[in-house]
Amino acid sequence: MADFIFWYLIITALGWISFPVLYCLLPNLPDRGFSFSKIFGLLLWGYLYWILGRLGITANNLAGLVFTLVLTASLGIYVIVKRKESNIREWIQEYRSLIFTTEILFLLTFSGWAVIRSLNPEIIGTEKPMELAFINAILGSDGFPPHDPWLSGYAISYYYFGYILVAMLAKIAGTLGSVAFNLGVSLIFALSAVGSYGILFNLCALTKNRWKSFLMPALLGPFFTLIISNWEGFLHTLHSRGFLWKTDSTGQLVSSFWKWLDIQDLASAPTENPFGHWWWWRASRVIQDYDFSGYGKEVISEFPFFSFLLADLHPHVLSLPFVFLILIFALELYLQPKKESFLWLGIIPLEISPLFFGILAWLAGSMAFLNTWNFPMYVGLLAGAFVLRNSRSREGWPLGQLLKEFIFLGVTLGVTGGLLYLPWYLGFASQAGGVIPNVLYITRGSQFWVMFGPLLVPIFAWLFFTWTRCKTDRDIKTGLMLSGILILCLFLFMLTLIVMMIWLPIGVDGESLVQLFLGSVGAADLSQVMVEGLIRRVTVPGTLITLFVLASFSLGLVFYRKNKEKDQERTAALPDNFIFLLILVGMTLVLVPEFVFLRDLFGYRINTIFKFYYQAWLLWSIAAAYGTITLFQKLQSPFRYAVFSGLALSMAMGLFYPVISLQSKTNNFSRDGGLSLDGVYFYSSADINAVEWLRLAPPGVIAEAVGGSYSTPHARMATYSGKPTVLGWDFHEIQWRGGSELVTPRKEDLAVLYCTHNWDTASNILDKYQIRYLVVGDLEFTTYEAGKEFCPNGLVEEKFSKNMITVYQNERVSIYTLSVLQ
Amino acid sequence: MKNQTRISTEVLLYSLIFVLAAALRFTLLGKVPLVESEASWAYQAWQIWRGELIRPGSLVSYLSITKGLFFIFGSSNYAARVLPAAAGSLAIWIPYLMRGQFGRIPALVLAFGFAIDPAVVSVSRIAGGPIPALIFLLLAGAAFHQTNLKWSLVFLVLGLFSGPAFWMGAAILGITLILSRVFGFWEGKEYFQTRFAGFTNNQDSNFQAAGEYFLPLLVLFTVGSFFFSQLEGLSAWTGSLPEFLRGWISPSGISPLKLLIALIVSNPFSIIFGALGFLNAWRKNDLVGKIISLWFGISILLVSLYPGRQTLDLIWVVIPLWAGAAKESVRILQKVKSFWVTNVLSGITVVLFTLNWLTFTGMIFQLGNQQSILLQWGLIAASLALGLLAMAIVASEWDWPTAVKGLVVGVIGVLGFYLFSATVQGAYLKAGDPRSLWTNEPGAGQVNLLLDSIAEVGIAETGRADSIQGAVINGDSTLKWILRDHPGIEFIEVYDPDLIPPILITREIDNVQVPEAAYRGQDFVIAVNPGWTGLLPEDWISWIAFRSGPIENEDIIFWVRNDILSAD
Repeated sequence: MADFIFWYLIITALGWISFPVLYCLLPNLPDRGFSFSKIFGLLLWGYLYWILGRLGITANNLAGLVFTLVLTASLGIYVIVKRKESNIREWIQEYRSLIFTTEILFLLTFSGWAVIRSLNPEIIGTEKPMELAFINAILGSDGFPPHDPWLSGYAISYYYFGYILVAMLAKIAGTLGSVAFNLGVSLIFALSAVGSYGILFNLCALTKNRWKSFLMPALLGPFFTLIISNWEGFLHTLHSRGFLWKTDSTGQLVSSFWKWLDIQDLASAPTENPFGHWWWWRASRVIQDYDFSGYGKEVISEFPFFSFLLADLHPHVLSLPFVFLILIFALELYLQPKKESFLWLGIIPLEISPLFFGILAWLAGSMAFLNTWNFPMYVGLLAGAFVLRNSRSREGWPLGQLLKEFIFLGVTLGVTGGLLYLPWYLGFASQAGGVIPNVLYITRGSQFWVMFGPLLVPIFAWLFFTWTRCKTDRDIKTGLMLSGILILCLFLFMLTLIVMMIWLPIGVDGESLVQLFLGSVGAADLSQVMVEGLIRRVTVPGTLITLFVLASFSLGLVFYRKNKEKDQERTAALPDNFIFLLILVGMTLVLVPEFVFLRDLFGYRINTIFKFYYQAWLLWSIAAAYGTITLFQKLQSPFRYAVFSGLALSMAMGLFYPVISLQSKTNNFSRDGGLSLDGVYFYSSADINAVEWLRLAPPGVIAEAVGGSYSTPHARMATYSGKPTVLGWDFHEIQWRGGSELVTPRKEDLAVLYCTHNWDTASNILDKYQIRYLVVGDLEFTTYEAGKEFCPNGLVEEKFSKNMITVYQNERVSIYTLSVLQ
Repeated sequence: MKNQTRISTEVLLYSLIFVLAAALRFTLLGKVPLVESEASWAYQAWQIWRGELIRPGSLVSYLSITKGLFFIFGSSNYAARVLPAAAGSLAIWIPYLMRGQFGRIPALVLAFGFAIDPAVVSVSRIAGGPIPALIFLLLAGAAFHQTNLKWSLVFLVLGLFSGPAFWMGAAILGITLILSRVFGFWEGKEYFQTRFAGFTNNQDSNFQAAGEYFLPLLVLFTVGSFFFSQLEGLSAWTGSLPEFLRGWISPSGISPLKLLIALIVSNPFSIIFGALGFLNAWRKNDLVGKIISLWFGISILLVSLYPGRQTLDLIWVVIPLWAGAAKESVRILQKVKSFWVTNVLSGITVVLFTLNWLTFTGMIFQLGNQQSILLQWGLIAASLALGLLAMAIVASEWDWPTAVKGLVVGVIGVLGFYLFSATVQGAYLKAGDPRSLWTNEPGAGQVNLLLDSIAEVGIAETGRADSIQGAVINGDSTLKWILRDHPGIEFIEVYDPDLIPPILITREIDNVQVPEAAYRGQDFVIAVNPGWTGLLPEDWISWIAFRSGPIENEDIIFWVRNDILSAD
């Protein structure tokens, strides 16, 4: 409880000291950035802490935290004093109901999700141990970059900014890493809630002066973003009730509907315990890919509620509030009048103030450090907002000029943003290995609608409504043409990649690119793959048609027929264009993986779909919430009740999942042992005691058993103590380092270290990795059983007990060390 | 011309007081070995001087300036204590800067008080103590008062770089100013407006304005970067704020009563005259006096309420107390002229107090004899009554001011002598002692003897005093500091009995299993602690009179391998 209160007070104070800066930076927004002040403050503080730490000015300690906090506060004070923002007081007076609503929303969501987390706080399974290891490693590192807890001697090679932010709060509040983990999840949930609320409030309040009337409707922002889920929960309920299942002549349950739908587990007959262990996991796997030979490939189709339910503190979750921060700055950019301009590096002209450009670059750059995949997406979105703003005051739609402006801002933001985070890039190795043409993997329309249905229904309804309203403005021809061009371009890009693959004399490990590609899709002949891909695209066109219609509507409305007499009307619909932009960027994100995907160690589009769809969900959820509010306010058609019913039904279907899954995940809102935010989880109490000893011991490298990735017990000592181990989860390290060169030898060496009879051999390995704490416990004995690779006789502890000093021992675990005196 | 001469005399007097202050602070500064808390800071400064990349603590100004001193003079106990001694000497200039408001003569008396006060002298001789924070903060305030932006910023930077004590001072002064404003003793808004206007008026051009900030920025970067060797000092100072705040939730275990006893025992002069001064300030509506009394009240309240309090925090109380005492004593002394009656009464007071002191200290030998003790207290009471009687006679024959002055001059003489004695003891002119008022932690032990022994063994083994190989198991900062010039000696946490280096140093309390067949051990006192747990030792009179009392030793064992000694 004390930790929660500390965190709440710190983040609230951070918001208030940062607000004057936002107030100054976002003059065109009704809320002047208040809803984002906590997010902005956290990002600014975190950036200063990290960059000054990286430059050697601050250390990773309390002094560094306070120093950068003072700097953050000083900026707010400077703005108030120097810019004479005296009307900030009047604004606070006038908008106190907004301030109150935002603060209450933050408090309720933060405390609410903290309660949910305290009902199932255990840090077990999936990638939670990895995330905890990062937090503890940052807490235990002297400076930046933080050490990799699972690869001693190396810094973390990952987009770890989010973990720094959580660790900062943990350090200043004196919170344990295992508590900070759960508080971090709750905080991100709350910040995302106020962020999405703020976006929607600003968009709605722009249209009318009666901003107070949007205080409550804007809650649809967090509702659509964070609560509404895909339709899998609803389908799962139907499935569990045996809906559309019948018994055939052999007595087997069969269903052509569920077979056609082809969603993992739902395609097979209902079981006796349909809401049993981890049933809620399936909602994140509603898209099913097949390779050439028909072998199923699991694709991740996560959405925010699932993320918070699962409570993995992964970068895509950690970056959520900051995505909303970028969106609000994109909205400000879109609303700004063209007043200032400058030459970027004296070369590229940009019609934007240098200060605001710098802020945008800093925000965009942070995306790479938070969740690298977001970087190009949101640079693109900012450039899109820039182009739309510039187009407002221009006659016609000069495509060349638009493209030039888009590219200019995109490139300059990308480069500047990259430079602002350069120290991080210097130590980062990505597993991404270029772009792969996607010939075979097509998202089926039915699965696509199960995934995005709750958002697409209100979006389509609103688009149709807007389309009918803007009879004189809309331009269907342009919409259709541009949508067609977009899809064609992507298709041609895919073909170009295939041609390049054939022609370029490049290979990896002696295999040509074509061979590698064929291997990844389970085929032997490229032409057969091409034909199969074509057949799939023709026979499974649902997603493409949906996206084509969506794009045509949106583009037809964005590139409206310009008519001087109608300018006044377009100005009134200013936020609509921004929503079209969100829809279009979301549409592009969903469309791209239909043609290409990013190459990683998995070899198919598992991560591309995951990361792209996730961001599309965020953008579309704002659009869906805005559409719903607009429809409820403006729709006067006789069919409105039918539309409202449709919307309500769609939302209800999207609410099945959160309601039921929450019950399952929290064991019907009860927990043996009472509520706790401490996620510490061990398989044995002996391990807990050993870790406690290690946590307080002087710095040093640990040696412990190496197990496979996703194994919670392995790397337990490093994960919980924050001290680096020689090797943690091997496959994860391979992913982070882009290869196994560093990993495989360590795995072998550790097996030899534990299993050899020869002390000299063991001693050499201890020297090689500078091992200070050698752990021998149950896990080491089971991992290094006799007969395993490099371990013919099993673990030999005797050599350690003879030649090393036992610095810690309990009934199941011993920790040995070497004396430094030689 | 006459005026100029007077100012010169005043400056000359201040200069003499400064010389006296410096003499009391710098004399035999390095004689007593550094205690643990001093050693931890000195060792950090030494590490920075050696170019080691460490995480510096929040006393950035100490670390930086001491590093510079090590660079010039080499590392020594003396150099490690120079900064606090220098800062403590500067204290006397604070009254000089504030004499406009305070009055010239009281300011001079106050400066003298700062120069000889046992608390100020003693704390000024402690490395890593709160005196730089106090002095730099007050100097920053005084420079601000003088509308000197440049020096105000310089001292503010140095103050902020002086550790958690700064925040205690800032809190005390901040609350004092706020309450003074609330009670109407001071026009805060007007005061600050005048000062800020003064800053602007002093800057006729942008160049001049930039010049005002140049020196503070130079100090900030030079001191903050440890003379451009490590940038972390620029941020490390902020660690003092959480350290200070942590003190609010982490009790130090020192009772506020102990602080009170220390205050009374160390300086009854300032307590008596300070208290009288505060009463008179309220009685006569003296605004400056009222502000000082508020300052004193808040400082004693905050220091008492602060759970992380240290005895050294009394320094915050001593300053306003002295200010009150200086004003009051001057007021009384200036009231009537001295003549033979006042001199006689003063003489009687001195004689009576001296006799009482002798009676009081004589009780040490009567502690078992209650009857005798009672008799001695009776004697003291009777002599006090005699003094009062003498005063009453003078008052009835002449007047009360004459009687009071006679008494006051006598009391000043007696308490002045007591003050001098307390200064000599507290200022470490005698050997440092855990029974001193101004230390909360173990006093220094036989570290010099240990060092000599190590040197002797080193010469026997290697031919050089500093080349011996060995290990210290679980060594603290004191050992790290004294063994800093012995590169062959390593500090380790665990000891492997299979390894037998030429020397080993273990703490007796750890009971490390050293192979005794291979070594011979000799214990040394590494630190000494007071041997009582309550507020006062059983023989409290001895403690008050002579700072004597039981002590407990903390031992280390110095192990020397047998072959070295046998070769010897």
